[in-house]
Amino acid sequence: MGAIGAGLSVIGAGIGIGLIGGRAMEAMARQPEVMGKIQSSMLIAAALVEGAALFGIVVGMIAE
Amino acid sequence: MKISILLIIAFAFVTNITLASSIQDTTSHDGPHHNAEHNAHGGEHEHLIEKKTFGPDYIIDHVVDSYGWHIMDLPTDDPNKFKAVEVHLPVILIDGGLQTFWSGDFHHGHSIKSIGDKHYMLYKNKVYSTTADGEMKMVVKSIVPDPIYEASLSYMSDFQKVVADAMHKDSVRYDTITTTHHEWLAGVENMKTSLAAMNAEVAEGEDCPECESFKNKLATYEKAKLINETPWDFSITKNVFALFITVLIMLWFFLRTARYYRKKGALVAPKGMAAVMEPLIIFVRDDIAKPNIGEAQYKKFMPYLLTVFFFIWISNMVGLLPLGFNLTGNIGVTFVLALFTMILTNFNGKSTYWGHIFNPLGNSMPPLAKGLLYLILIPIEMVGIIAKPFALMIRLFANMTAGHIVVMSLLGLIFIKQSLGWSGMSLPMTLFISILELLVAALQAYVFTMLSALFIGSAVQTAHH
Repeated sequence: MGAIGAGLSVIGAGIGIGLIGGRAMEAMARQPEVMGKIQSSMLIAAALVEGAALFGIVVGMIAE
Repeated sequence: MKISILLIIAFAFVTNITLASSIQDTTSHDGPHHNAEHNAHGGEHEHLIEKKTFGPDYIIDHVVDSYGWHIMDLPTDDPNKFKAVEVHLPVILIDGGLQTFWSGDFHHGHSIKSIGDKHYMLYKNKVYSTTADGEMKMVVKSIVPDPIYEASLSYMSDFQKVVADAMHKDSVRYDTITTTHHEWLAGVENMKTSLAAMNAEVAEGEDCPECESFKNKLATYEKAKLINETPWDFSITKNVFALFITVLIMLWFFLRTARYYRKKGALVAPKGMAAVMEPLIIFVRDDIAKPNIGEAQYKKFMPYLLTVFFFIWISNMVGLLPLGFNLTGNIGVTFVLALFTMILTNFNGKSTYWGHIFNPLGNSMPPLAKGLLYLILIPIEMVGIIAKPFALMIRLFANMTAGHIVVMSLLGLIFIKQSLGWSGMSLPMTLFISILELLVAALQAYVFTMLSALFIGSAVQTAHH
């Protein structure tokens, strides 16, 4: 069960980080002059999403 | 540019091959283990390691901290025994006075170390106090089937059985067993041997309920908890050793850089080590500290941010070397780093920061409604104080540990599939992950520093919006 939960949390994070990356690319293509700012806020958002996913994975590992 | 890419690839290859050669062979159906020579307590003869099977335990062994620094195993004349190449590290205990000895004295947990009237043993990577003959107090958790459920099974229809199976509750019993170190190890070893014998007798594809129950019984013994007293432990473990290495590298980098600027002043173009460090330090200042903390106050926090950035980066990179270190993949280390960020954030919190926590709605609502909302809001905000650094801790720990586990698992494919052909698959994949880990090492250092700066910035900034 723990492994299933970990997998589910990874699916969520995958969708989330994919959306963040995709939208950031769009934004950068539209406004290349603020590329740096978009990049760093993209990384922060991705890190936050990933943090939530890692909670899920760690809890999944413990629940085993 | 091309040369540097080649260098990275060469580095990653060497890393992989050394790692791969340090994994033992992994025959899955190994014969009965002979445990006879491990009975000597503190015997003088050389202790050899038995052949290990590659599996989850093997990977976890590589990821967790240990008392000795185990580098690799060399084959001996006996194909089932290996000689460990390892660096013994000092074990430092405080137990009615200072006790120091080398980790090699435990002989991988097979011997008891006696100093005067104090005796110590190593069990599952932890040092415990014991007696001269190695007394162990083990708590064994066993599941006792519910007698009423068992008795009523014969009166039930199939459907009722399904429901009852989901509803009934086995009770759990904890037994404390007092045994000796040698007896316990030999007992568990015997059970493993007889399980292997039982499995060998059963034909392929046939069910073996006895084997299953025996396996469960063995698992309850292997999971048993040792409740001997533990002395205060200040040992230089593998992780502490890796910490020292990281600190030495950092001192070398920074003292050289500082000496350069002391001699030449800050206005000349940097050369040597200073030329390497200056862009990185300016990156931390201009891209991390200034935008997140603000021009006015960023200077005060630069030393912390720089230290954290370089410490995490360098120890991540040291962890990528094929030396078996995993410093930032240790939750204790990341806990302390996150604790520093939490302390810095809260001790520098201005009135706006505390206002956001205890009065998040300001004066925009009638006090009565606000009071009701605050019953929920204030606890949530207070959880936020802990949750932010907690996320920092888990993120770094889980990322680095996951990287190590993935590398080990991909290399392990060769040993699980027991064929050399798989190395054609597993080495390129490991190479790919290793190079990705080079990126992750820097990215995690960046993210940790960036989020620390963001939290500190949210605490020190005064109202301007």
